[in-house]
Amino acid sequence: MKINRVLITDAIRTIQHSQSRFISIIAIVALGVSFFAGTNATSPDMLDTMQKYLADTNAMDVQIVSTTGITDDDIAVVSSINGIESAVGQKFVDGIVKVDGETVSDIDGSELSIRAISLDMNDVFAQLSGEDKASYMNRPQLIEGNWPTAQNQCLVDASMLSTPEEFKIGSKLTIRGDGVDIGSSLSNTEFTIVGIIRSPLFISYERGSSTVGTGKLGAFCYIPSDNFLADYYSAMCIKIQGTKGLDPYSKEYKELVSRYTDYLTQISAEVLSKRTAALKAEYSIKVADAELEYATTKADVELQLETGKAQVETILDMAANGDKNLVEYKTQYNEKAEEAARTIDASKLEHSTQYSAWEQKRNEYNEAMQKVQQYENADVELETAKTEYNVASMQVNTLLTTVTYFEDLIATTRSAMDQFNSSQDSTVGDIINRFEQSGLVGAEVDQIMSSINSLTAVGTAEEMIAYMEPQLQSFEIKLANAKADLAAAKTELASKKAELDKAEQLVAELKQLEKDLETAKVQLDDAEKQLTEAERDIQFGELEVLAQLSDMKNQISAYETNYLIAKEKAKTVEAEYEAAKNEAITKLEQAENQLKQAKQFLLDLDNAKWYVSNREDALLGFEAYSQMADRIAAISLIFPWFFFIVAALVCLNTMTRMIEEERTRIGTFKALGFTDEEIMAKYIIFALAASAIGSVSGSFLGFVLFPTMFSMAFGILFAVPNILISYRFIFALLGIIISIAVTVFATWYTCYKSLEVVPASLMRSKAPKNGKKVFLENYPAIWSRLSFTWKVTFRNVFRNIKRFFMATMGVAGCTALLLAAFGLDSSIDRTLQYQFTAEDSIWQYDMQVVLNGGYDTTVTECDAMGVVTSNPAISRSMLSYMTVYNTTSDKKSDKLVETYLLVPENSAELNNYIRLRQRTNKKDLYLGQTGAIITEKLADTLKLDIGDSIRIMVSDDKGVSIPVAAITENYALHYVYITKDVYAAVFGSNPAYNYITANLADPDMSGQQKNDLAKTLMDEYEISAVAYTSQIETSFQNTLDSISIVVLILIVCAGLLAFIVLYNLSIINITERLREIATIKVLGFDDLEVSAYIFRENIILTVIGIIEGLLCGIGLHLVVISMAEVDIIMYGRGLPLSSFLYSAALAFVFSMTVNLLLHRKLQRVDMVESLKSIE
Amino acid sequence: MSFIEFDSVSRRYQTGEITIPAVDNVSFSIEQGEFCLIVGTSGAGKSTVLNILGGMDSCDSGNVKVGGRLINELDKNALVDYRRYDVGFIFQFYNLVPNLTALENVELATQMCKKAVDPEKILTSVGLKDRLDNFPSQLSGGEQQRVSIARALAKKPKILLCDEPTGALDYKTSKQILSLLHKTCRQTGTTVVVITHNGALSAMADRIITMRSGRVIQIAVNDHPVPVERLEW
Repeated sequence: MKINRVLITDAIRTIQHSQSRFISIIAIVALGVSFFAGTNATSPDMLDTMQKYLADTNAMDVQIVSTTGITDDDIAVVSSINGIESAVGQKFVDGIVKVDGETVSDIDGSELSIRAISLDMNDVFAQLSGEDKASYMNRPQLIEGNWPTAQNQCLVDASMLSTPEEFKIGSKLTIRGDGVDIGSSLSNTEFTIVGIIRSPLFISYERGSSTVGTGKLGAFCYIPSDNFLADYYSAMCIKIQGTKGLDPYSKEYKELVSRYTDYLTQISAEVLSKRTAALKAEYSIKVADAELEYATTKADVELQLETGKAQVETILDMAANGDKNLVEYKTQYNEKAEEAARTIDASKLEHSTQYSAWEQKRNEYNEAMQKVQQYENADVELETAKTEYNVASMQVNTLLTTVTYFEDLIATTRSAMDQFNSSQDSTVGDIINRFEQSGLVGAEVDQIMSSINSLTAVGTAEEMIAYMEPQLQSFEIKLANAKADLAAAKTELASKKAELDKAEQLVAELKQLEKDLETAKVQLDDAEKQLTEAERDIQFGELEVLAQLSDMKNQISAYETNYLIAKEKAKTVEAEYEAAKNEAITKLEQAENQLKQAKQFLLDLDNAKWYVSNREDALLGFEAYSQMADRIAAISLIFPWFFFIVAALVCLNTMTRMIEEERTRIGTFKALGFTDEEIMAKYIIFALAASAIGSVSGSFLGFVLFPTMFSMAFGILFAVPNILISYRFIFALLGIIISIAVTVFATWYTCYKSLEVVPASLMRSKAPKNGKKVFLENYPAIWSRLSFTWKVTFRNVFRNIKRFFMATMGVAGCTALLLAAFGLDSSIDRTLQYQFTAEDSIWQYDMQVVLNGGYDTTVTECDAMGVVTSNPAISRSMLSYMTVYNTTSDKKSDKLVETYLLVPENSAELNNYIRLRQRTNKKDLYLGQTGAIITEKLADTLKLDIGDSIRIMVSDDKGVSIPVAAITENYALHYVYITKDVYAAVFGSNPAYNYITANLADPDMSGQQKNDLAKTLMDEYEISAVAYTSQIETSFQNTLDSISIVVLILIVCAGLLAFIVLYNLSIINITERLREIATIKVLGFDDLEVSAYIFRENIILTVIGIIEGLLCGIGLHLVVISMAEVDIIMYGRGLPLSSFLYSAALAFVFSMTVNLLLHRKLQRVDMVESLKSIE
Repeated sequence: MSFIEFDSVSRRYQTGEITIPAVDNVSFSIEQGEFCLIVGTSGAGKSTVLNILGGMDSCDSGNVKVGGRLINELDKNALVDYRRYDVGFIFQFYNLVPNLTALENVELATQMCKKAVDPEKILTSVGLKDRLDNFPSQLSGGEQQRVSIARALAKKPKILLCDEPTGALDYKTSKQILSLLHKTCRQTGTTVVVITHNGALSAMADRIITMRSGRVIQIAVNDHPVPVERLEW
C-alpha cells in the first residue's frame, strides 16, 4: 500500500485542525501511562536506591553483638574466616540526652534516650580524600554542616519523626547515664552538633531498643571514636566478600549471608568460652574492688548528706528566727551603746577630778618652787657667811695667838728680867734658853734674840735690862693692842657667827623647802601620771567601747546580711539540698547499679552469647523499606489499570466522535477511489501519533514524578538518599504498547465500521440515531409525573448507550478509585482503632513490662510481679510468657510467619487484657485446653482453619504442632495463644514467664507520668523494660500514615483523572450536540436554561456513574487492601459510610466544577456558526 | 411605518486579513402579515439578513426595526426574549431534537412560553395528529419540517423566519410545506419571511426581495399572490 502524499498532508492538517482533540488524547494517555509506569517503577527504584545506598555507605552484612562485649581477639578470629572481607569493632553507648541543658521528650513523653556511636575520624577523612576502605562500614552520609574536627563535636540525623526539633547544628548535647555514670564510658559528655547525617544503621525512623530510659531508643548521634574509654567494642561489623554487587533483598544475597551467620553462630561458643574465662578472673577482682568502693562511697555520701542537712537546718533556722534575733541583737547593741556612753561619762568625770587634783598639786609645786627660788642666794650667803666667819674666827685665833704670844713674851721677858734682876749669874744664854724653851716664835723674839745675841758678846745684864725694859714696854703696848684687837675680832666673830648661823638657818630652811618642793614635785608627778592615766583610760575606754560597738554593729549587719541571704536561700535551699541529695543518691545508685551490673555480668558470663544478625535485624528499617516497596508495587498493580481503562475509553470516544464528524470526508475519499486502508491510515496515524507522544512523554513524566512523589511521602519514614530515578524500559514499553494498542484499535474499529458503509450514505450526514423510548417510559406512573424537561433529560441521557456507558464509566472509574483510596485510609484508621484505641479494642492492656529473664513460677518467685502489683498506678496485671517463633501450617506450606506465642499464667484473665473474639459475630472466645487460638491474619496467611494444626518451629528443622481451636480478630502482628497446660504438654516444660501485661489505674496518664512510672518500675532489677501500648500505637500509626500519604497521592491522581475524563466527555457531549444547543438557543432558551438543559444530563450521568463507581469501589477496595496490607497488619475490613460519602461528594464536586467550566463554553456557542456547519 | 424595517444594514465577516461584506447596505421593509420572499443565489446574503432579523446575528451598521423596536440595540437578554416570544425559526434541516418525539419537540418550545398554543392542537393543525409520539427519525422530511413549523408556530410568534424550508424536500412535499406556511400567514396574520433560491416561488408572495452579493437589487410587491398549488417549477 502506497500512502498518498495528499493523505498524509490531510492527516497533518487534521491534526492541526483538531489540536484540542489531539492534545486531549495525548493528555489522557500521558496520564495513564505516567501513572502506570511511574507507580510500577517506584518499587524497583526504591530497591535500587537502597542497593546503591548500602553499597555507598559500605553497610555491614552481618553484625555480632555479644553479651560480654567484643574484643580485638574476637575480631581477629572472625577476620581470619575465609570469605570475610573485613570485620571491625564498633563502640557505642546509650544514655539520656539534654539539649542546651534542657530536657528533651521523646514522642511518648519519656526522656529522650540517645545512642552515641563511635566514628573513626581517620576513616572519615580517608574516605573524603578518596580512599575506599572496606573496613570503614556503615558510613554516615553528611547532609548538612561539617564533619567533626574536635573530640567534643557530634553528628545527628534529621528524621522528622524520631529526631527532636532541638537537634540543630550548633546545639549542645549533654549525655548522661541512666542509673550509671557515663563518665566511665566516655571522656566527653558534652558535644556540639556540627553536622546532620543519615546512617545506614537507621534506615527507618525507628531507633530500636535501648538499655536505658524506658527501653526504647529515642535518637542517635555519632561522636569521634577517641571519646570512648572502653577497650572492648559494643558490636562487630562484618563485611562478606562478594556481596557488594548483589541486590541486598535478593535470595542470592540472603543465602550467601546466612551461610556466614550460621557459621559464626556455630563458632561463637568456642570463641566465647576463652573470653569468659579471662573475664571471670578479671571481673571477680573488679567486683570485689567495686564492692569496697561502694561501701566507702556510701558512707561518704551519708556523711555529706548529714552535714548538708545540718547546714540546711541552720539556714532555715536563720531564715525563720533571724528576724527575731536581729531585733534582740539590736537591742543588745543599743544597751551596750548606752552603757558605753555611761562609762565614758564616768571616766570623764574621774578625769576632771584628777585634773583638779593635778592642778592643785601643780599650784603647790609652783608655790614651793617660788619659795625655793626665794632662797636662791642662801647658799652663796652661807658660803660668804662661813668664809666671813672663818675669816673672823681665824682673826680671833690669830689675835688669840698674838695675845698669847705677847703674854708669853711678856711673861718670858719678865721672867728673864726677873732672873736677871734676881741672879746676876743669869747670862744672856739663859735668856736665850728661856726663849728657846718657851718655844716662842716671833719677830719680837727674833729681834730679842738677835739683840741679845749681839749683847752676849759684850752686853751686860743691865744693858740687857735696859734694853729689855723698853722692849717689855713695847710688848705691853703691843699686847694691849692685841687684846683690843682680839676683843674687836671677837665681837666681829660673834657677829660673823650670828651671820653664819643665820645663813646656816636659811640654808636649813632652803633644804626644808627643797625637800618640800621635791615632795610637791613627786606629788605633782603623781597627779600628772594619774591624770594621764585617766586621760588614757578615757581614750582607751572610749576606743574600746567604740570598737566593741562597731564590732557589734558589724556583727549585726553581717547577721542581717546572712539573714537576708538565708531568707533568700531558704526558698531554694531545701530543693538544692534535695537536688544534691538526689544527685548523691543517683551517684550512689549508679555505683550500686554498676556493681550490680558487674555482678550480673559475672553471673551472665556462664550464659555468654553472640547475637549474630544480618541486615534485616541490624539495619533498622531495612526490611520495612522493602515491605514499603512491596506495598507500593502491590498498589501499582491495580490502580493503573483503572487509569488505562478510563484512558482507553476516552480515546475510543474521542476517535469515534472524530470519525463520525468526518464521515463526509471519508465518503468523499472513498468516492475518489482511495482504498479503505489509505483512508483509515490517516486516523490510525492520528491516533498513533497522539498515543505515542502521550505515552512516551507520559512514561518520562511518570518515571520522574511518581517515584519522586512516593519517595517524598515515605521520606518521613526512611532516611535514604534521593530516590534513583531510572527509565524502566519494560514498564514504559508495556504502557506504551497498551495505550497505543487500545487507541489504535479503537480507531481502527470505528473506521472499519464506517468504511463498511457505501460512500453515498457516508456523504450524507449520519442519520441521527433513532429516538428510543427509555425504560422509564414503561412506568407511566413515574414517567407521567416527570416534568417535560426531566423527560427530555432522561431521553437524552439514555439515548446514546455508548456515550452513556462511557460517561458513567469515566465517573464510575474515578469514584471507584476514590472510594478505594478513602476506604484504604479509613481501613488503616480503623486498624488502629480496633487494635488500640476503640472502647472494645483488641488490646485492652496499657503496658507491657519486660522482665530480665524467664521466671517459672512453679520454681522461682517473680519479685517483679510483686512490684508491679503493689504499684498504685497499676490497676491490674498478669504474668505471661511471650516469645517469637516462626510458624507454618502442617499442610506442608513453606510459608514461614514470624509469630508471637503468648502463654498467660492465668488463662481466665487473658480476655481482660487481650480481647479474643470472632470478627464477624463479635462472639468472645476463651482459651481452652483443646488447642491454640490464633489470629485471623495468621490463619489467612497460613491458610489455616479451625481444626487444622499450626506448626511452631522451635528451630530450623524442628517444630511442634498445636491444633487450632479458634481464630480471633486481630489487626497487628500475629499471635498464637495457648494455656500453660497446653504449653507444658507441647513443649515439655513449664513456661518461664517473661512479661507482665498490665493496665494503668488512669489510662489517660500523661507521657511524663508514664515515663516516671516506667523509671520507678525499672528500678526493680528484674524489670528490664516497660513498653506502653500507646508507644506501639504511635509506631504503627507512623507506618500506616505513610500508606495514607500514598493513598493521598492516589486520591489526587484519581481526582485529576476524574476531572479530565469528565471534562473531556462533557466537551464531546457539547460538540456533538452543538446543533441541538444552537437550536434551543434560537428557540429562545437563555444561558441558564441552556446550561441547565445540558447539566441535568451531566448530573444524572455523574450520579449514575457515582453509584456504579461506589459498587465497583467496594470490590476495588477489597483488592487494594488485601494487596497493600503489610504482612504483620490486617486492615480493618468493610467500608464506613463516610468513605462512600467522601468519594461521592468529591466526584460530584469535580463534576460540578466541570459544569461550571462548561457553562462558559456554552455561553459562547454561536448559533449562526453551529447551525451553518451542515451546509 | 412598516412592521419590519431594514435601514442601511451592513454585516461584514472578518476572515484573516480579508473582510467579506455579507450584507452591504441593505434597506427594505416588510408589512405586518405579509408573506415575504427573499430570493437570491447562494452567498447572496439572504441567510445573514434572516439571522440578523431573527436576533441570532448582529449587524455592523444600520438599524433593524421590528414592530417599532430596534433589534440591533437590544442586549443579550432582551434578544433572548425577542427570540423566545417574537420569532419562530424554520430551518432547511429542521433541527429537531432527535431524541424527542414530535410532540416533545413542540413542547420544547411551548414549555417556556406562557401563552403558547397547545402542542397537540398545533401538530394536528399541521396534519400530524397520528404522529405525535414518533421520533424525528421515524418521520419523513416533510413531516419533520411540519413538526419544525409546528414548533415555530406553537409559540405564536409575530414573525416566522424560514431558511430554505423546502431545500431538502421533494417537489410535492415542498408544495405542501409552502402551502402550510402560506396558510399560516393568511390565517394567523403572522408575518412570514421565507428564504429561497427558487425564483419561481415569487408569484405566491406578497413581497419579493431579490438579493445578490449582499445587496438588495430589487423589491417587488405582488398585489395578487397566486396559491402555491398553482405554481410549477
